[in-house]
Amino acid sequence: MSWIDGVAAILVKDLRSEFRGRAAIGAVVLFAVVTLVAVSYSIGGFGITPDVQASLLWVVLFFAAMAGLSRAFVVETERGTDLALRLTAAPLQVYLGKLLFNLLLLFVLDTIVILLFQILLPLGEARWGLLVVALALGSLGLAAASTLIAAIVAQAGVRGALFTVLAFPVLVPVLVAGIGATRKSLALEDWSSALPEIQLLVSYAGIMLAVALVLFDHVWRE
Amino acid sequence: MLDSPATVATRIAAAGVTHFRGSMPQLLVDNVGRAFAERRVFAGIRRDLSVGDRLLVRGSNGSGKSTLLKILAGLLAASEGRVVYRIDGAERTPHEARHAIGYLAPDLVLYDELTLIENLDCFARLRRLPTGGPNRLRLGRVGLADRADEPYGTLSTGLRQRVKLAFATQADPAVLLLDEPGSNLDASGHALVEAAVAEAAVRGIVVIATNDPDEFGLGNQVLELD
Repeated sequence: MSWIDGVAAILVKDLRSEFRGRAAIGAVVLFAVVTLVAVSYSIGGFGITPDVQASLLWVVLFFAAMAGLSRAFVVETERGTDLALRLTAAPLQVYLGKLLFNLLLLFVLDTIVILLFQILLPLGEARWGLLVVALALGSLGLAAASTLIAAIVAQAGVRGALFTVLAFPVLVPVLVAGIGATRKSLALEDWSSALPEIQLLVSYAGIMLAVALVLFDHVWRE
Repeated sequence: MLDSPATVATRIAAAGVTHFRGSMPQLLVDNVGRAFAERRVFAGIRRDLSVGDRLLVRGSNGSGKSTLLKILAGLLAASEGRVVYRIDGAERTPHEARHAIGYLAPDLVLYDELTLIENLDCFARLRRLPTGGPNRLRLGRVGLADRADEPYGTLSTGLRQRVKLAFATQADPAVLLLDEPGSNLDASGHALVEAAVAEAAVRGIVVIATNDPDEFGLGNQVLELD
């Protein structure tokens, strides 16, 4: 039984809980569907530019993620199950297990949102490779930062609004770079033109992971 | 049989409070105190516990019994003093010694939506213990072998307490911390607690926080927090 096996144990536990309770995926998908239906209805038959499409895509992704990513920790604290994790797991195992769960949740959300976009607000031609890379890196950055913020928020008394309030300023770089790279993929621009955004997304995810690895031990144990 | 205060004092003095003796599991509680904001719950607690010691922590509601056990388990920091374990010849903080500590308390909650065996297997993986068979055996020892595949959330509070006892003793811990272990248990459940305490004391240290006179016989030392 290795240290990594403990990370897998937390991931499997969360996936089982999610599969049986659907606490996070329900909130996330419902938000995405309602938002996209409302936006597509208000836009009607008007064509929208890649700029607007990219912004809409990331606004939906961001707020849907906010509705679900905090669940991983908040549910543990509200139910009191965090005590058993504190007794048995290393803090880093908890962070990485929750990070992987949130990342999987975001990949599912990305897929559903793109499919819904194609149905309700067709994206048309796009550089799909670039779009997938932008979404994957953006999701990694979102998950890395949100998982740490969720752990902080879970210790606080007022949780609901606090998560989004804390997360938004921290996640602005992901939104800016994600929207930029997505716009370029929808406008069929070259990969090279999106290099600054990709570099920013990679740097952001790397920095957030490093910060979380250093800080999470204090957040979890204090 | 309770150790006299003089015997306990001699042990602390012999330990010099700051150093351990021998290579068996030991627990040093060195001048530990805890305050919440302006309110001091307790202060100046000193104990040097080693194999076979069964410390009974007693006191009225709010005297800090559960708080002390949380500090010993590493779930709460002491406001003053320190708690040090000697496990396998090395001095460790409560957090570092967590795999050698078994903890049972009323606010310990397992996962309602997971089955009993899924709960124990999850924590076994985190504790780097084998999964499956050994955990089913452990559930059998608390009388729940035939309910291993049922969700934890469907159990009564008494049966949940039995699962929590299986969780606390899962790793055959060197230090067993029990906070109100008999709550919600029937007569056979109390017998399980007595057996777990007796078994744990053979290989290590047991600390029991309780105000239940039926459980006073579980200890061989007493710490009054009032």
